[in-house]
Amino acid sequence: MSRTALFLGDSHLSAIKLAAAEFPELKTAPFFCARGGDLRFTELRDGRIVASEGEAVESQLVSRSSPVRVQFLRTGGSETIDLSSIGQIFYVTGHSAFDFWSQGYSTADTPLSEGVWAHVLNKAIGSGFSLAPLIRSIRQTRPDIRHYHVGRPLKYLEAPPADPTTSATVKLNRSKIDALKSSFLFDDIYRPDESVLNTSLLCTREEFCRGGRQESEAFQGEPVTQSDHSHMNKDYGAIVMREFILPAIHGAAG
Amino acid sequence: MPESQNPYEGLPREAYWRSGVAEASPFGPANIYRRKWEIPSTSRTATAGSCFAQHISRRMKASGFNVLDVEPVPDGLPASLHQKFGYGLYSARYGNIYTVHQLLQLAREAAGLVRPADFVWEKNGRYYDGLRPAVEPDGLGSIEEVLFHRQHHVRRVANLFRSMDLFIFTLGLTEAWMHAESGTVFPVAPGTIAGQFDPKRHVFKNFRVDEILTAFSEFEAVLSGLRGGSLPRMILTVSPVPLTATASGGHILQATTYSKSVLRVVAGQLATEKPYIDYFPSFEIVTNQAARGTFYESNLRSVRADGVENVMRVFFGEHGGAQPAVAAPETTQPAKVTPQEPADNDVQCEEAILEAFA
Repeated sequence: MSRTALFLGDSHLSAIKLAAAEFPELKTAPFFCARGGDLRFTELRDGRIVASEGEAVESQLVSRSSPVRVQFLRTGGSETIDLSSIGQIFYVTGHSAFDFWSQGYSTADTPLSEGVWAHVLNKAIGSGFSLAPLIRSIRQTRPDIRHYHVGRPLKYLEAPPADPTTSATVKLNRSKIDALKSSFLFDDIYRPDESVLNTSLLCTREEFCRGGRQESEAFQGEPVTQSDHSHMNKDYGAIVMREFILPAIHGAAG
Repeated sequence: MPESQNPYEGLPREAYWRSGVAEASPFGPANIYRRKWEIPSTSRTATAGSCFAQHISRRMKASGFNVLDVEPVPDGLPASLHQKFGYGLYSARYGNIYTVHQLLQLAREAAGLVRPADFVWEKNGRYYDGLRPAVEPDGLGSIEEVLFHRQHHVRRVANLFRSMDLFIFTLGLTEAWMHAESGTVFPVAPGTIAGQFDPKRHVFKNFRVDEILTAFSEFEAVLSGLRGGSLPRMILTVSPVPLTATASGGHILQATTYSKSVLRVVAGQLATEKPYIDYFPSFEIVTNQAARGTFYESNLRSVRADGVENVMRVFFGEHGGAQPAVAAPETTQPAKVTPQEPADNDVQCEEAILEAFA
């Protein structure tokens, strides 16, 4: 039985969703979106991802007016997510392991050893990932489902450092993450590179955030505002699709 | 002076052994320290030194002093691992700096005046920075990586030396091992944590008073050069922690007494001669005979937590900052020894590793 890919994420999912229209094999893929801070209020129940319930959960939701189940209904067409036909889950939420700026300036220009990275990476792709409990639950009952971290795009920066030392440090740190990434929650993680990043490898190129925010808000049915430096457009999504998502899907099917 | 008086009459109580020590409380002996100058609250303070210095660094931070940290811990590293990876011990990840010669070497390296040699040590296929061997307990993947990490560290140390207003340094040892050809000074002997000891390449040195004073003078010159001609204020203290082992050929008790005596002379002389250097008596407070050794653990080497608190109580009594939670007992008798977590459980000490070779 061929399985479908599921896309679960926050507002940054829009770039992937809008790009998916160009890829016929993803026409039937479900895309479910909720605010990043709300996604952790989900759990596995009877083979479905459902919103966690209760007043305590409701009181902690970032989006007070739209509980997670309502956000799922609006974006994915269902309050719960049926995993019975799912073969892969792509998580488009949480910081990328390669996003050194979001981890604080220090990792942008400080070489870290494997010993340190082995712990620091937990925050992005290990036990600190907001949906880690959900992934563990799914792995227990559906070990056949593969999990992939796409994460949020690296922000666009107007003036990223460009000196050779920082560049060498970034490359060294990236190589450490490459070596360690399979030791955490995911079967693989998206590794943004020169196809979307500028030469510093610290930020996404400006061309990819033009119109990104507007596309995201239109996708979520919200008022359209201006571009920002963190939401990317469907051109970005198309590259992620070609370089990571489709190979992961085809590799799993192979 | 009237004819009946002699120079020992009418001195303050602390000038006499009986009233200043034998009959005085060992908990913060009165007037054992009078600060030379105030530390402004905005003062950017850098800390370094031997294992005991970690206590000072930590407590100053906790007490609201502006203790610099130019290599802050990366976000996401659990607090339980900070010490293991050398974070938060001092103002940079240099690990323990046991000798003044090691300090001078670091300053020269930061100023671009010297490149240490023979300091990449190998163990089980991993590579270690022999000048701070404990900051990466699992080592690094290659020699090149060690050199790259060190270059980053030294750049940060240079920034630290340039920006500090106050430098607090704890002198720990006079004994050191060196690379004979280059004069590179190591914090521990090659072969103890990593690397290989080679008697043809590595020599033992027990620094003398005159050598340490010269090295300190050179350190000041290098520091001044880095800072455009200025020097920070400095507080020197001598670690009360005895040596774990000696390679001097003599008894450990003699070796310890020699080391601490030399360092005490150096610190005292510098504080006497230079208005910008103050001496703080950590050594005297902990080794005070009136305490009858109760500030030491059962190994008679590690300093107990109440010993550290006693030291810091005296320091903060003159320099302000939050006082330790436990008030000093009124009695002159040493407090009954109560079981407590050794203060040295919360310091990282390469020198203590030598005990394993006993």
